[in-house]
Formats: sequence, C-alpha cells, structure tokens
Amino acid sequence: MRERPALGISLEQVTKAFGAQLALDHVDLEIPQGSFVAVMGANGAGKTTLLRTIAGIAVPTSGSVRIAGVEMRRAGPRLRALIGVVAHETMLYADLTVAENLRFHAGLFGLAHPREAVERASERLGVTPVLDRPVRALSRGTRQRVALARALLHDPAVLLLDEPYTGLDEAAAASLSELLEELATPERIVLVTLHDVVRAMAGPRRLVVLSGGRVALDTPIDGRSEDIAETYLGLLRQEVRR
Amino acid sequence: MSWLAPALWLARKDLRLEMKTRDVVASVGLFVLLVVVTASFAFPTGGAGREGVAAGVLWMSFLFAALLGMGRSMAIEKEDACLEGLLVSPAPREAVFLGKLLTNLGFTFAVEVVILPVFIALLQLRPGGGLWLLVLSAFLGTLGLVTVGTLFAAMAVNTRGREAILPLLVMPVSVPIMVAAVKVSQAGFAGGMGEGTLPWLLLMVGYDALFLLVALATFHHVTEE
Repeated sequence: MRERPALGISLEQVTKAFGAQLALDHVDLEIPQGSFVAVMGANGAGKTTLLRTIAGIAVPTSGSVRIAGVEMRRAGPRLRALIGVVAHETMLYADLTVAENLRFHAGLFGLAHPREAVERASERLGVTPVLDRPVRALSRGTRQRVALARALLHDPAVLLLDEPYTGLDEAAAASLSELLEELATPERIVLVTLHDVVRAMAGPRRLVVLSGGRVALDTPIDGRSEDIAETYLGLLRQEVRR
Repeated sequence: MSWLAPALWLARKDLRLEMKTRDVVASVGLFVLLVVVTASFAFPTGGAGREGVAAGVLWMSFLFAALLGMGRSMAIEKEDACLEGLLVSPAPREAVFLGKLLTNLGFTFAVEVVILPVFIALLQLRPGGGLWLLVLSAFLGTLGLVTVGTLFAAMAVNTRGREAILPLLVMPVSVPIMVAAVKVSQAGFAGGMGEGTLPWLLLMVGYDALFLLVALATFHHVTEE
C-alpha cells in the first residue's frame, strides 16, 4: 500500500440548515486515522447529512469540516481522491454493465491503470462473475457490492458508508461486516451510518449517536457493549417521546 | 487533474449509455422530424419572406430538441444519485460541466445533421452558397443554447418539476442567441451574407463566449447542496 501522510477528520461547530430545519446543529467531532466509527440515531437525526458534509457533497451552513487539516470547502482533486463514498443510492448507471460502471469511475478518478484497478476491486468484492451484466439486472445485495467496489477502486484513505446494510439478506450483511473489518486498517478511517445497534457493537470501535442534529453520545466501543447498547436505546426512547 | 480527461470520460460514458438506450436521439429526433414534416405542409411554396419563416421554424425545432435532450441527459445523472458520484470524484466541477456540455452538444448536433437536409428538401429551399452560413449558425447557435441549457439543467435537476422548469429558465436567457441564429440562418437560406448579417454573427460569438465563461465560473455553486 502506498504511504500517505497521517490524516484525520475534524468537524468544528458544523451546522447544516435546510431552510428553517437544522439537520446538523453545532457538531464537533475529531476522528483520527485508523478509526472505525458507527454513526447512529433515529431517522432524521442528521446521520446522512453528516456523511454528505464530510464527503463534500453538502456544504456546512456554518463551521468547518477538515480532512488532513484541509478545509473541505477548498478541497482540491488530491483531497477528494482520498475519499470513497457508498451512499444510500448506488451511484451506478443502471443501463451500463458493472465493468463499464467501474471503468468509468476509475477513469474519472484519474487512475493510472484503470483496468487493473477494476479487476482488483471486483475480485475483492466478488463481483467478477457479473462484470458483463447490466447493473439493472443485479439483486440489491450485488448492486451494493458493486457500489462498494466502485468506492474502493482508488483505495481511499477515508471510507464513508451510508446505511450500507439496507436491503441486504443475512449472508450478504455478514460478508459486508467481514469486509468492513478488513478495510478498517490503521491507515484508514471507516465511518458507517447504521440503524442496527447489534451491528454497531460487532465491528466498529467507536459509536457516535446523533439526536436532533447534535452529538448525543460519543463513546469507544470496548468491553461494555451491552451498557452502550442500553444507553443508545435509552436515547432513542427519549427521542420517540419527544 | 486536468479538465479534459474527466470531461471526455463523462462524454464517452454518455455516448455508451445512449447507444444502449437510444433514449435521447431517438425520441428527440422523432419529435423534431414531426415538427419539420408538419411545417412543410403548412409552409408556402413561394413568395418573399420564406427564408425568415423557415429560419424561425428551424430554430424552434432546434430549441425544443436541445431542451428535451439536455433535460434527459441530466435526469440520467439524477437516477441512483449518479451526479453525486461525479461530485465526490476528484474530477473538477468544471470538467463535469464540460463533459455534460460535450454530451449535449453531440446529441443536439446529431439531430441537427439529420434534420437540416430534410428540412431544406421538404421546404424546397435553395441555400446554395449560403450553406456554410447555415452550418455556422447551427454551430454557434447550438453552442450558446446548450451552454445555457446545461447550466440550467444542473440547476433544475434537483427540483420536482424539472421538465417544466428547464424551458422556463432557458427560454428567456436564450432570446438573444435565438434571434441572432434566426437572422443568420435567414441569410443562409437566402444564399449568403447579407447586409447586417455580420453583427448578428458577432453577437452569437460574444454570447457563446460570455455564457461559457459564466457557466464554468458558476457550475461549482450550482451543484453545491
């Protein structure tokens, strides 16, 4: 693996408003290199907006998002090339084949050897047998694996995944969990939004819970996973009562 | 990262998609062909002023072709959040704009290349030595329309009634280029540069240059959430 400078994600007083609605409300977060973080919260808590803001898709209304010390608002191609995103939707062209989709994204990322990158990513994700099939013809689980292959083409140092388990059966979910564990190396940041507290306790090493756009809980996941899960469920119950 | 390589990747991808689905060229081409054939029945076969009417009909059909094509080409990016896939890549936003511009120009020119000879034949026009002027006005006029349209299509793509909003945004801004294109095409149908054609040609060049710069400078903000 090529050497990279130490990097981390830093959010300082990040607020994102859509009209009068605050999706993120003065969020402060420090995520050092090597982190494997689960972001949880009720629907509308701000999880997706948080990921989109870190990815540079959404621009904060106020505050700053920095990756490797560089403000995302001023992110150039080199910084964006460090990030891989798996969104709720696949970002794949349904009428193109898997290979055409992956080759297109490899080209867009300016990879020196796009063909090799596509082969590597498809082997890693087990999508080589479907390379010549149109994305439209694939199951949800396979599409999700192709979306991951797309996000991993350039070997990103920051991997952002928005509810990647949605629509996956147990076998596909288990293989995704294994893959995420494998990807969560000391050189990489993996940030994943989840709904399932059991999954959050199984792999990630840190849990961030958002409630109403604010950080309601930020804790390492160590041996106290039952206590943490109970705290999280308590927060959810409070949110529902509100 | 340069603008050209990702722009070409994007245009190549759109071409590949179009070859598979034939969504844009087939539907837009058929629509424009229908307009031209209908116009040929209603069109006077002789008399003064035919060139002006012909140029007006031609550019209305080109405008609708461009609008339909641009709306569809940006809608493809909206499906499955593909546009976000472009925006999170290291490709500069300007390259994304240029790529979509190349695609839209390609599709519109493809329709025009088929429609223009059919139009001339059906309406029994005799451009003769003015053919080059027709081709030039088609190039400059389409470049202006598509530049403005690509920018506004990116603006409209996140709105609910994007198909209705795109013409509302594009039409008022495209009045100068439409008028100039009609004037230059009229001269083309009449056989060549007439008195007063040059200023219209210069207006087209100026319009294209201005809106190309504006689009490149603002596309970043247009795609921001």
